[in-house]
Amino acid sequence: MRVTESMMYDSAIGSLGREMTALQSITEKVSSSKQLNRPSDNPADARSAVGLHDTLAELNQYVRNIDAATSKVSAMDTALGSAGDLIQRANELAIEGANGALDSSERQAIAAEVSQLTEALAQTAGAKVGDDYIFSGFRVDQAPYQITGPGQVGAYQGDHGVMVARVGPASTMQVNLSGDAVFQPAIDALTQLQADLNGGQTVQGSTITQINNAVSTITQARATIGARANRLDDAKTSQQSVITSNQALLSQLEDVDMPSAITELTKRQTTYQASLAITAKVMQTNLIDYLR
Amino acid sequence: MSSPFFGLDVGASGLRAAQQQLDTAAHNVANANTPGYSRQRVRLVESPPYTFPAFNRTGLPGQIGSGVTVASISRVRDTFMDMQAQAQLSLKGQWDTRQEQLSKIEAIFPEPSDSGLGSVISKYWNAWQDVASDPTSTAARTALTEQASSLAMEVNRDSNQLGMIATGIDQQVSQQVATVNDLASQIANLNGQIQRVTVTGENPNDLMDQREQLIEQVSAIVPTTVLTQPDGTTSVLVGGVDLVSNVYARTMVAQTDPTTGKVTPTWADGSAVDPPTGQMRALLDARDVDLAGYRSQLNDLAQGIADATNTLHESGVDANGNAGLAIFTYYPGNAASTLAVNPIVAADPRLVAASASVNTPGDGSVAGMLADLRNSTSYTAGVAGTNVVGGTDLTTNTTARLMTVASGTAKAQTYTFSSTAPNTLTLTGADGSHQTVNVTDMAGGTTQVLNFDQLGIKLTISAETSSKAAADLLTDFTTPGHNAVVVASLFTPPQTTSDFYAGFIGKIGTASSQASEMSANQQLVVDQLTTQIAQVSGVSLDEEATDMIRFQHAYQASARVITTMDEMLNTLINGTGLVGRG
Repeated sequence: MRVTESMMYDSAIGSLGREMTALQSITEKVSSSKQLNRPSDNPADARSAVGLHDTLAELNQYVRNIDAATSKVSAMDTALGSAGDLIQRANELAIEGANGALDSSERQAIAAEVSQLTEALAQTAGAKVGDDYIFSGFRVDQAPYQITGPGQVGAYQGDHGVMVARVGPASTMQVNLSGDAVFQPAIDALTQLQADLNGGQTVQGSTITQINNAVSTITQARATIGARANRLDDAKTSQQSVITSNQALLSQLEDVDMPSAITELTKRQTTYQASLAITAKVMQTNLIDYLR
Repeated sequence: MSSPFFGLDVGASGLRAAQQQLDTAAHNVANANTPGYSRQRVRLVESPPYTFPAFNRTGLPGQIGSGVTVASISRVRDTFMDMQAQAQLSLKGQWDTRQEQLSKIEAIFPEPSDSGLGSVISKYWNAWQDVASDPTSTAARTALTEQASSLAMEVNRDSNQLGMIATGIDQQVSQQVATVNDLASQIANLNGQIQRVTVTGENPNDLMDQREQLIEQVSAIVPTTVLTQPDGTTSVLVGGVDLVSNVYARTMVAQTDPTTGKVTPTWADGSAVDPPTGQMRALLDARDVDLAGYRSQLNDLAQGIADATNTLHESGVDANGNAGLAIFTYYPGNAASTLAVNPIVAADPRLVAASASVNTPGDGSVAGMLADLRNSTSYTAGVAGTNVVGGTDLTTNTTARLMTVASGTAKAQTYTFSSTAPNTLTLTGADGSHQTVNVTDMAGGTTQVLNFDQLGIKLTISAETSSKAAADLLTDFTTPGHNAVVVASLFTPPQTTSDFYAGFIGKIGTASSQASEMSANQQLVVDQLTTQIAQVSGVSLDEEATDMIRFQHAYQASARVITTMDEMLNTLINGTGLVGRG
């Protein structure tokens, strides 16, 4: 084979160029610590990674949704807790009022406290998260109950709208309870209790039954809310674990395996330097150098 | 017997030949790095020998050599390899240019990342989730319109950048047309010079090298077929049309479309230049196939999101109790570059229609349906008839069933309601697919979900104050005129936004990585050919140095022959006939 200078120059330039390209590519990987810097680095992986980025954004949003729902649920829990205390106190007063030995002024005094309790119950039902009433269904701009006079509470102002939280892909959960389902029995019972006491008679057994039923409605509601809080907690834990596994998956696709990348980089550098050294040596000499 | 001066002439011919060879070696060395140069060789032949005319030549030694003659100076060149090189250079030009254009396209979409169009789309859907979680929050509504704006701007930017690449290609095509014309006229000019030299019987070596060099440059742009004519001229054909023939060059024209600015290469007579390979092919393909495809996909993406958003949003009710307006505006056919957020909605966050009915500020169900579009391939595009399905009845608010339809993955078509048995409702698609579900009486204040899971459609019948019997519900559903749901798909073929975008990025990546690989492979092929050509035609300095010594020695020896002849003549002229002198 006939070897000419231009062949040697061209092949030296070509191979140095290839070494440089490889060196540049591995340097980019090491310095960005990513092996996917553009779609063409690995089209199939890039495609999956784009999908995973979207999935991760979506999953993080579910966590946000769960947090928002949790704050509503815990506000409802607090409200139901105080409503429970109020109705318990009313229950005690009812039993006290059922005592036939009381005179009418004593009953009036009890009635006055029950009237306070009724108003307090209406206010408790008006619990808010931000500016929204949480026991008014979708009518979050309306307090569920308005105090129309001393111890007097108007009709339920809300609706039965069901708020759902999106806690996962295609997975929703009811957040709220409508106020009239939870508070109406208690308000009705307290109104009846006031009527009994103000009517100058002993508190009727049916009123006490009504109060007891109201207690169990609120207790049940609280249990429901507690269960929702638990479900939200579980949902959050499970979403977080899905997030972690997805992140691991994404990292596998995107991130560079540093030790092997740096080994590769060193190897490339050595190869490049060797190419340079050899090229320099070969190109230094030709026959002219030896002719005198 | 020859003349005693004969040897001087023989020596002189040797001097001339050696000098010619040295000159040629000098030419070779001087052109060692000239692109396209082929080394030249002096072809020597013996001069015609003398035979003395005589009737009887038996006593003579025969023919006498008369020295050396320079027969020709020719280039060492393999024309077959030239043809191969031209074809491979066309391919290399094509893949290099394609790779260059595709990496420009790829740079617009620096995925995977947390900042590209993909993440803007993710954030847009997330913003709807926040509105759904807290429909009364002005902050969430404002964030939504801002996110919609970011989405529009990002799509605009990407589409415009693709457009700029296309404009750049138009300029490059014009430039290449000018280059081809320039090269063609130079080749025609060289043809003329070569023709004039060839008829004299000489070899126009350097002119031919230059011409081949020019043809290679044309080949990188458009593939050529080269035919060598007996008079030394070449015809250069591009797609069967003679770009250069004899001393004439045909003109290529860059036709600019007056409305789109699109540049198309044609011949002067208006017929299209449609090169199968080469840089120009790569540019035309990148513009007309790749860029056009990506822009159209970006249009589909923008339009899919905008249409679905608008349709569902228009079925909702805003915070003022009015029907939702379109969130996005765009010009059909140019959705990506013209996508914008409706300025009326952008100016007033209360106009985000998150609720399904009036006076339900805490209802984020429509916002929720919009958020669910993220994982949907289809959505409810409308209903036949009025005020029954989709959002609320804003006109009468009496007979209508307030319903929301979540169609997620339903096939895009029209579905019709019917009821053949008491308390059952059948939904039948235009393709015949159907499912029957039970409908129950509804107490006031409760909702009912009809889950047509096999069809991918879920109907939520909203609560009403008074109770409603199942039979009444069925009557409302099956009344002709408002008994159908139209389901549209976001994209064709049906897929989620995320899949669509990931597929789009995958396509760009695949095209670009293929172009890089092909460009690298083609580089190797061309390198190989260049090496082969250099093997035959390249100048080897070692070889030339050896030749120089050889020719120098020959020159010295010839000079010595002349000296010897001179001495011989000296002896003859000055030393002869002096016998016996003192």
